[in-house]
Amino acid sequence: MKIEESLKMCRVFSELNQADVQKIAVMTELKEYEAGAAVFQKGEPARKFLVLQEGKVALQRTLPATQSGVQRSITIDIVSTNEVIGWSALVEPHVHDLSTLCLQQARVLHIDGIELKKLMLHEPKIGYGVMKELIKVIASRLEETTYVLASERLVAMPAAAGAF
Amino acid sequence: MEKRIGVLIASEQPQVRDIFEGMVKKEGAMVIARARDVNSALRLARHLRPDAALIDTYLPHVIGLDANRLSRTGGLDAATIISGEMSRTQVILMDARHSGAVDGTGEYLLTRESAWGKMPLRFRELYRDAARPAGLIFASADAVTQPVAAEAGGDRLSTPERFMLVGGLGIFAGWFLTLTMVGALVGIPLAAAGALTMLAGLAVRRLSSRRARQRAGRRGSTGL
Repeated sequence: MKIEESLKMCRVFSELNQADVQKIAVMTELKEYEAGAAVFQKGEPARKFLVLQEGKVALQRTLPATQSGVQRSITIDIVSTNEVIGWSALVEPHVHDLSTLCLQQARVLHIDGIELKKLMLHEPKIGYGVMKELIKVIASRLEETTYVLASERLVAMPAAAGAF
Repeated sequence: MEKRIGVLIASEQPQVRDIFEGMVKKEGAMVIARARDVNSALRLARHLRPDAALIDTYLPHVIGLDANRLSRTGGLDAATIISGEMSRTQVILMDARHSGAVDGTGEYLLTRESAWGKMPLRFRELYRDAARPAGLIFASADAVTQPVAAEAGGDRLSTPERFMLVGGLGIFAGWFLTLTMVGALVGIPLAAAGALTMLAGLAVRRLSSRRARQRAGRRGSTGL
């Protein structure tokens, strides 16, 4: 599938016209990842805004280590085809606050964050269209996080294994 | 006598649990527990220490006495915890897709994409791939109805197997012609062609199997 077509199928860019999508396509690069690979890790600089062209990627948050020193991650959300990850590339301080793990072989569109921000600044119509949809993505992720953190309270931690 | 592999299966949907169970049982392994959420999967795994755990990607976290479902993204969390705590348990995180309604009749079969089309997914292949030091592998499969499965190779021969069968028949026919001394001139090239076809079939099957293992994905020690 062409990059332009993939971008158009993504909710964040769905309201842009063909010419605007083409401007974003030229700053986009396609990369492939195997299942089990990380697209990015928490704390890394967020330079690319990412669209999942194909596959499934888990977004994870690392929890503080338990008393026994065990550290583990909890899945906040699972991102599927045509959804976005790495919105930190468009929002300061441009650092990823979650880690990723590919649950399947994945094809990911990497859009240059700096170039995209410049384009959004110079063409407010594009900027408004993208940010309007991006806010919905951030809101839905916040909602998922709330659910996950609430349910996490009841998940037995490894330290409690002996209780069973 | 070979020990039967004891498997914990976990999925929110009873139909998916049935599909998993069907695949496991078909290959002589034994389902020792069925879980429908993260908590029960962890509790059963810690209690029973299964040889393998087959876990659906979408497994809910539940909360309260009514077991209200919150996030459905707990499959990876359960798989990671079991893999980390139980070194003997080989964990397979399965992303099973199906089109249309799963009717629960057990008529569904898990298949995977390969270079040669859809192939039935073998539990023992997954179990072997999940062997230590990886401990946790990622697999994805399509749940298809039986007629599609049969077409895809359920009970029929796959393309490489057909190559090998034709090659074998070619060798046999060529050898027979050579023995009669009447058709040796035809028999020898026929036997050679048969051998080459059989070798090609073998090579394709090995290549297909290797690609399938690569696609299944192996989690390295630098993972979570």
